[in-house]
Formats: sequence, structure tokens, C-alpha cells
Amino acid sequence: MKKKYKRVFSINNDLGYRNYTVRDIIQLKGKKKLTQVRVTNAEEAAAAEEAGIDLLLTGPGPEFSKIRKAAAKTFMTVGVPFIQNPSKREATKKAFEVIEAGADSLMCQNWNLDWMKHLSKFRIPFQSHVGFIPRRTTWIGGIRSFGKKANEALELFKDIKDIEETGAWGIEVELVPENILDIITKRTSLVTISIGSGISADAQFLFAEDILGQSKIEFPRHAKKYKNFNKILEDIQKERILAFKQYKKDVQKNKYPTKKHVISIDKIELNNFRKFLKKN
Amino acid sequence: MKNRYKKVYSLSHQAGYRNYTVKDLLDLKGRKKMTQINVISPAEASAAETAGIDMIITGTNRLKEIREAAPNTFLTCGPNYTGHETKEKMMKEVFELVRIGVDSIHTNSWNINFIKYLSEFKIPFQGHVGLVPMKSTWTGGVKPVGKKSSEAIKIYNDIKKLEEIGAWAVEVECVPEDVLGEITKKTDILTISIGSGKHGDIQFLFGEDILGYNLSSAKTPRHAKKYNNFNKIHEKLQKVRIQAFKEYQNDVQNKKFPSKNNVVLAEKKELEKFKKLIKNL
Repeated sequence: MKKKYKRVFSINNDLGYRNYTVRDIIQLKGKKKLTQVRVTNAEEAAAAEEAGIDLLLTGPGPEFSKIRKAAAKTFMTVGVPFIQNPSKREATKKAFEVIEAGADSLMCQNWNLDWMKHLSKFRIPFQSHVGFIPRRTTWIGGIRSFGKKANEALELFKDIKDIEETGAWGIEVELVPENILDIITKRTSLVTISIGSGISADAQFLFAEDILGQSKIEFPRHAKKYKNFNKILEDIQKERILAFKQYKKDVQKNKYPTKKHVISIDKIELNNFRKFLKKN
Repeated sequence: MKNRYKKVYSLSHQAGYRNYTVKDLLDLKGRKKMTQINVISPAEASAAETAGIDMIITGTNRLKEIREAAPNTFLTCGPNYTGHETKEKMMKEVFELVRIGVDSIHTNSWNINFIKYLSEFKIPFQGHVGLVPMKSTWTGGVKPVGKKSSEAIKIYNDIKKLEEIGAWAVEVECVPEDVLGEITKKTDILTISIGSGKHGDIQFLFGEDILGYNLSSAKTPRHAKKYNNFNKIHEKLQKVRIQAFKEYQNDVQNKKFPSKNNVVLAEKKELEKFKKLIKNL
């Protein structure tokens, strides 16, 4: 499976290689099913790139620069939290920072529409989020799917159209009925990215921790677990404990350190030192 | 292994349990060989506690998680001095570390006056002599220190100074075994050997070197003993990650994911209603 990367300039003007430009992604709408994975560390990012995952999503935290380096050629979207950036100006400032750090696109989750329009004037690619939105759960009465009733589906459609107008390229659609997103996907120019919203979306999105089976919370119904990392990590932890136990035992039984672990000293120098200590 | 932990107050007055107080450690000098491990993750910290390692040490990066992962093990933390141009600022960071729950501070290559100031608060600390990486330009690079009697005397004097200031221990790095043997007998504080032989009161290694993976150094240093091959384990783990992501990628392309049990549906009636509604938009 040879992967082809194309030569690109990133938004911060770095020359490099990427699997897609935003134009490529938009042009693939309706032609190719894409994948997006949310990663939280460099290992997951590198594995995703190696596996040929199409798009990556991550946060702007301290791990970001390592994640960018670990998956240097994969189209990467980075979340810009609105809550720490409580004005258009601050949000834009943070967006620029994230772009300087190498993001290909931003995730404007919960952003004010007006801010997104502003961002779009800089021609910065971004995606947003509709349907079930964790931070807005209180408006829909709790953790549930969104759009089962026609009037809710209509609200969702309007939300998507509003976001389309801001200049976004993609939209994460969370926990929406499959047959509803099917209709909407055909009626929007946005690339629809499904998480729990069925097979008709342009892209499928999952959390790496769910794919790997490494989640600490109850496994979500919409996800598919491909491995049992919780179990694997437990086994590795046993190896750690064993290694540390052996080290402790070695020290207690004077088996470590041995001659090959230590530094020797000349007899004459040692005697000089002993003479000094006797006098002190 | 009952009663392994005793009830204590931490330096910031939190009630809790620990394997040792500083007094216990000092009382054990010459009686029990102890172990200290440098840990960089909660997983390592927790493994060390389960394995019964006597002490752990870490930097400031993940201190809170590490304290939570090994709440009962005597924990030392080494804040870097370069972020603090005065002893007062240095202490401000130390107080933060104390609040997080450290039992002792590693003063590494601090200004001696900063260390004296720290000691005025009766916060337990360990010093560092011999090959001190941040000061190694003064000792000629990454190589043993103390092979000449004049160097050995210097090490002895450094330790005596730390003892005077009130350290409870001193890390002694890459010093000849016989030299540390002599010094350990002549000081009341605990000597912590890393590459300085079996006469240290405490043996110290990096979790990384015990487990056999390489982050901070290109290869396992000569003084260390490798008990496992975590480089290989990490590699294997990465292969499993790649495989999982590949399977997911294939499933999506072959329309095997999502399947019926991963999705929700709108009822036919609502669906038809919705179709009509958007037709007119």
C-alpha cells in the first residue's frame, strides 16, 4: 500500500507534504468515504498516519507539537476552545497560534457564528459541530440523539446551512439518525463527518481510544472497538511491576550493582583520600 | 505485607499514609539497603509502589498525576532552578510542589544559598554531587568524578556542606565505589548511589533504564541494569495500534462500519415530514 503525499505549503507557509489539501477533501465529497480519528498523543498520531487514516483531529494542548511531528503528512484539524478565548479577537489570536504550530484546519466547536465568519475572512479552513454537542446538552434535555423528530431534524438542517454560510469546509454530525443525515449530506456542500450518525456521511469519525479499546468510561454504542488496549496495558503494567521488584530484590541481596556497574579508583589515590579522611 | 504504610501528615498538613518518614529513612542508615527510582509517568509510579520500591523521584511535569498514582511512597521532586532568579521565587515553586504532596525536594544544581534558604523551612531535601549533569562542564563532561584523591576530597567536602545545611540525603553520581564506601561511613546523611557502587545507603536508577527503553539517553548507561526490553514492548504496541486503525480504515471504505447497531434512525413518519419540510426551503 504505497501512500502518495503531495507537496504543499501549510497555512503558516511551511513547505511540506500532506495526504490532502482542503480542496481535495471537498472534491472527494460523494466520491470517497474518508476517516477521521481523534488522537491525544504522538503514538496514536504516528499509528494513524501509518495506517492511512485520512484526517486527524486533536486539541491545542502541550502534546500538539509532538502530535504534529508524529503525523507530519496527515491533514490535521485542531480544536480551538471558545471558553478560554472569550472574544472574537482572542479566539482569532488562539487560532493563529494553532496555525503557527502547524494545524491544517481548525475545529470551531461551540463557536459563535460571527466568529467563524471572521475566521473565514482569513481563508483559514475550519470545521464545526452539530447534532448532539456535549457542552450544549442542557438545551436538548441530556445525553441523547438529536433529530429523530422532523422539527428537530429541520433545526439541524438549518444549523448546518448557517455553518455552510460561514465558510466552513466540514461539519461533525454527532448522534443524528442515519436516514436524516443521509438526506442532509446530499443537500449541503459541507463534508459531513459522522460520529454515531450513520453510513451516509462523507467521513466517519471516531476517538482513537474507542478504536483501541482504551476508554476509561463506558463504551459508546456508536463506536467500534478493534482491540482491547485496556487489557494490553494491564499486562504491560505487570511487566513494569515485575522489573521493579527484581531490581529491589537485587539491591537487597547485594546482586546489584556488580563490578561491571561501578567505577574503580587507583590504590594510591584511594590511600591519599583515606589519609585525608582520617585527619578530618 | 501488612502495615506497610504508616499514618502521616504531609508537609502541607494533608493526612495520609506513607512507607517512610524522613526520620525512618535516617534511622535505617547502615541497616537496610534501599531503592529509589526516577519515574516519568503515573504508570511507572504506580508500578514502583506496587513493587515496594522505597522511594521515587520525579520532575515537575506530571507531578500531580504521579503523586496520585503512588500516594503512599516517599516522593522527591526536583524543580529546575533556571526558571527562578531569586531564592524567594524558587521557594514559591517549592511551596506549590509541597501543596501537591511531595515529601522531599531534590536541589540538584541549585545555588547553595537557595538550598540554605529552603532548609530554613525544614522542608526535607536531598542534594547532588559527583557527576551533576547540569554542572558537568566543571568536571570535564560526562565521565566519572573522584578518581583522583583531590576530586574525592572535593566530593567529601560538598557532602559535608550539604550535611551542615540540613540535607537528609545526597545523590552521588558516577563516583568510584571505594570512594563512596569511605564517605558513606563518614556522613550521617544517606548516600544515594547512581553508578557509585554498592556502598551507597540507597541505590538509585531511572525507571527508563530498568525497563529498557530510551528517551533521555541514546542507550542504557553502563552503571544501569536492564530488567526488561520496553523498547520492544513499545514497538509491538505501536504495531497493534496501526493494525487497529487499518482495520477501521478498511471497514469504512468497505462500508462495514458503521453497521445497524452503531446508528439511530428516525421513524418513517417523521422522516417523510422532514423531507417535505426541506423541499420548500
